Amino acid sequence: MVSFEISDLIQENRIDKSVYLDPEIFELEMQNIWAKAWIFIGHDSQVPHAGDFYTTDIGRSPVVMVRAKDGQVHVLHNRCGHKGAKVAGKKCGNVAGFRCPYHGWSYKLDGALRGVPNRHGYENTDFDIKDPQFSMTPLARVANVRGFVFASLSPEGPSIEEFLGDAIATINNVADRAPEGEIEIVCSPLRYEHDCNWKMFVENLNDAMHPMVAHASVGQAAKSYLADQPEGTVYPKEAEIIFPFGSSYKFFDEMKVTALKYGHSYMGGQSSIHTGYSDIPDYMDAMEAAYGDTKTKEILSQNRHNTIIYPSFTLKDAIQAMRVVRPVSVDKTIIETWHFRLKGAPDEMLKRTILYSRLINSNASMVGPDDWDCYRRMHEGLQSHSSKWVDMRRGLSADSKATQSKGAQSFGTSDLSFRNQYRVWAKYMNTGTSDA
Amino acid sequence: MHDLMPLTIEDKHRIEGFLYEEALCLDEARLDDWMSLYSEDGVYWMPASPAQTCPLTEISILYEDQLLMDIRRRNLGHALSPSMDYPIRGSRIIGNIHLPKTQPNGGAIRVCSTFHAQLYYREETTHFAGKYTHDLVAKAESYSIVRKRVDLINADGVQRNLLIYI
Repeated sequence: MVSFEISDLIQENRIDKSVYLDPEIFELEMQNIWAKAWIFIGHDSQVPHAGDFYTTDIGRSPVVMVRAKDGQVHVLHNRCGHKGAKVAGKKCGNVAGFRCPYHGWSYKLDGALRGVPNRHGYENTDFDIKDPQFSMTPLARVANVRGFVFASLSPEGPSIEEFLGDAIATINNVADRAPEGEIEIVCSPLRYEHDCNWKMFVENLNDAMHPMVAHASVGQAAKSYLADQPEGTVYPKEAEIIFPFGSSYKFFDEMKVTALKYGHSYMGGQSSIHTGYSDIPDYMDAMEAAYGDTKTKEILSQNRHNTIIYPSFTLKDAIQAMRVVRPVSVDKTIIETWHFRLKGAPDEMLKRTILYSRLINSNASMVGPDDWDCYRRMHEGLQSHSSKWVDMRRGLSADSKATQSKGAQSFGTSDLSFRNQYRVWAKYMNTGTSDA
Repeated sequence: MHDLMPLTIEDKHRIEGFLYEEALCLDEARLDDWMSLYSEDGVYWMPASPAQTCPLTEISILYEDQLLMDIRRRNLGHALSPSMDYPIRGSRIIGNIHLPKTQPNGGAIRVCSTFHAQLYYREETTHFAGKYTHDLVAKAESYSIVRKRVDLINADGVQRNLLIYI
């Protein structure tokens, strides 16, 4: 029995602080959200050849994504069917099959048990090599959307199409922005440990009231640098990335925020903080050669800021990076930033992404640590005996007037996306399903 | 020591002294002085993986030229930065200074060393360790850094905030 009622924690305009602080709530989230929803696992370009594998976790449940000989990508529980040891230990690699390093049970790439050593000891014990309980079991559901692999620990729930809703337009746009229509993950990710509850990071992705405050210093430092340069100095590309973070409230309001059924949301649509980037001529040429003029313009006219695919990841369409949320405990979260190449695009596109990510996402950047600090301050401040409520009423009166066609929409600095996340959070937590 | 070029004892002392001076500038957070040790096109590079070969098409923890060093210098301790609300103190120690057999083309001297660094920040002391690779060019009686590569032993591991160069 849990010691709280979900309905007491979530109000229309505020939430109880224990949602971020209570280890018991975190445990329930692992069961009712992370073990139920579609969770982003990885991209199939991480396992291009038969036998390639990549290990990760859903919440704390270890899984391995692997490509079988027939080309199919499987997601398996990374647990030996014998005594439960984690089978694949490396982050990634290539194998002919898996073999548990403890007692030598071996598995095919689809997880089926292939053999156990010294087999005669199992005679007359009901042991059956074909019994799934002894295999590396495949996850209940796996889906591949333009190479983005999602899995769910639950056999039940909405289909991936139903789950993603209009968020699929971001995934499609990300892939369409490649002249060859496919993306490819490059290099190892940034892995950045945050001293915060996972939901604080997720909320912040569509929090348009914070950039001009929390990230003011780097913009000012860059401006003061430029002011000291001789007249006629060429505007560096770094400035193109840093300055939009200091955009006005009006700019962010006009970007708008859109909230979707299963807790997803995005900012922008036609414009975002990435709209002002200068064109890379070779890229435009490659796109026009691949798609023609009209289709190229259509693809590049979609410009969403962060699309949050609740609860596990976020991606941008104009920058080739995505961030994966890895909850560790109630106040520990690892954020992985993965980068990808648009197949068929010139290296300049990848270089811009890498520069962006170094300036914004790195643990040593002049932006990431300021976000980090604000989350940590929430953990510190919420220890206060003052009030138990965390407020999210901004824009509430506009919610009813929101456009409902492809999700609810409001002005960009509205708290709409937070309210939407907690509406869905409460459904998951109450029932273990996002349907209600 | 597998010296490639015949270095005099004075040269060796001068190189050591130069590396110590750089470490001291960072320990004392004197980023103006620290930047002046880099050439105009000098870069500071901290890869995000031990095998990383390209700073432009692969992600790094840091890859900064004079432009970014200058912005960072102005951002350090900035009143509007929440993460800069706390003291940052460091202590770096360098050892095993040697010249590797493979030297860069173009006349720079490559110097490798082992470092250990402790940073104090937000009530936490964090230990960093790894290898420095300095590419130096002669400048007056001293040197100038063309490139400093910092290979953390945990480059591809989980990282926490890093608010100053190591």
